[in-house]
Amino acid sequence: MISIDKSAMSTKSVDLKNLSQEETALEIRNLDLKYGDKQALFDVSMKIPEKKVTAFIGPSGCGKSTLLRCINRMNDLVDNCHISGEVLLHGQNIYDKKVDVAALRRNVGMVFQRPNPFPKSIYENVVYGLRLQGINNRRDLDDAAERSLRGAAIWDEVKDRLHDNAFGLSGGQQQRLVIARAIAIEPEVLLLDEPTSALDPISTLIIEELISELKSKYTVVIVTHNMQQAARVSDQTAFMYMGELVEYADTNTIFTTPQKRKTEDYITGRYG
Amino acid sequence: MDNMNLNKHISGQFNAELDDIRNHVLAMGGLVERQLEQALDAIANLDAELAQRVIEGDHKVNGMEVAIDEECARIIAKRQPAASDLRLVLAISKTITDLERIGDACVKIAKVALEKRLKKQQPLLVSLDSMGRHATRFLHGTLDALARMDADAAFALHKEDAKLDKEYEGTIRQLMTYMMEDPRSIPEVFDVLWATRAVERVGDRCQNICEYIIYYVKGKDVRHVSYEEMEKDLNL
Repeated sequence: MISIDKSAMSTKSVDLKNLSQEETALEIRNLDLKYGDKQALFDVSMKIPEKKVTAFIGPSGCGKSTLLRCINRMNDLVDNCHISGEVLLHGQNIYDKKVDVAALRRNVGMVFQRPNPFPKSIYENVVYGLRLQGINNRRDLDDAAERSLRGAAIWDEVKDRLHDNAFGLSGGQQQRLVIARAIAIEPEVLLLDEPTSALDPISTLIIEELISELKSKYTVVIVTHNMQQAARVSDQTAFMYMGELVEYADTNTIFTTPQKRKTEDYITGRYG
Repeated sequence: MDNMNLNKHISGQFNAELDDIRNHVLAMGGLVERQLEQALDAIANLDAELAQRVIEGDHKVNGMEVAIDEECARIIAKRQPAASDLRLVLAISKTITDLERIGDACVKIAKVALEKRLKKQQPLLVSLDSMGRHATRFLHGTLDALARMDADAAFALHKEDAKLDKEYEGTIRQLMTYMMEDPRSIPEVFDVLWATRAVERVGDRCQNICEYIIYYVKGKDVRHVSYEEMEKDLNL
């Protein structure tokens, strides 16, 4: 449906500079990151709105995955990684000493480029996180498994073989299974690191469709090499280049009238 | 936008395709410009042969519109253009529609030039001639701005249309006076009126094209906005 209301046309769907506190799920402030001597992120500051899809795009090595990993402290596992600045999840700095990293990662789930199901049954994959939390009641686990598999748009395909090995699923199904596993523990934020780069076009479309549904419940942050994918699924897009956040605006603006020359060059395929 | 002196695409083929549609739209503009000049010459001199040539030449303009539109559709399907590339394809796709309509206006003018009864009312054509020259200049300037993708020139030209509209009003008043003075001249006056109207529409079409140029260069849609807003959008 086309709106012809002029005032509605001129106001952007989300005014990123004036997000109020309630709408901001994550705020990154002056984040610098070094792997040893090599600085990978330079003074990145941005606000990621709640229950929207935010995409990070940029050439290989620009720091987009590094930035994504900062959001659930995956970089803690990397030796020689030094981080300064803040990442606030609902106002709380996740790099604060008091923060329990395991609890943080329960709240901020992550899905990787290659589907990585555990060598267990489909069912056990989904309830794995719940079992870790000490939930063993069969009924609760069954409910959670169905809810998560439905949420990841794979329930109909696996409901009759929940106890088959997860490796028997196709790549696209495995990726949705991994998403089901991530949402089973009901995180607030879902980080997707190139979730479709190992998938065929149809599976990719199914995952993209799923992402649009996920945002009704979760704040989604996605790293993608596929610019058209960012254009299709995201509400906000951040363009990164050599560790700097070059431009961050609503996706419509980035893909029709980017303000920075570097962004323009990259999304029109002139970079290089 | 920092500026529009963009680098080349990594894909040389894509570069070539975009250059192609740009060149084709300029060629189409040249063709339409020639049609307009000839149509106005034909009516000024009541040259039936030239008028006939203009009418027959319109199919070339129509053919170019269809061909360029197909190229635009192909680029969108194959390349998924974004940002300035997308705006270029959209601006061109719209520009050719307006150019084709200018072509139709030329045919209208040429058809009037074929009217034999105008021979005895040649003085009626004087103010049409001056309006026609104005419209030709306007079209020429617009195509120039299009070739250089010059938003400032497009904005300056956009304002030109008001002058052409004023001339149009003056011509209409003059033609009405003729009708009142000599009702027997009404059929001839009507003929000239159609041609005058067609010339006036050329100005409107040029104005649209100027808007597309601004859209491409500045990324701002300036259709249906006041000049104050336009100036603000363009940071003039």
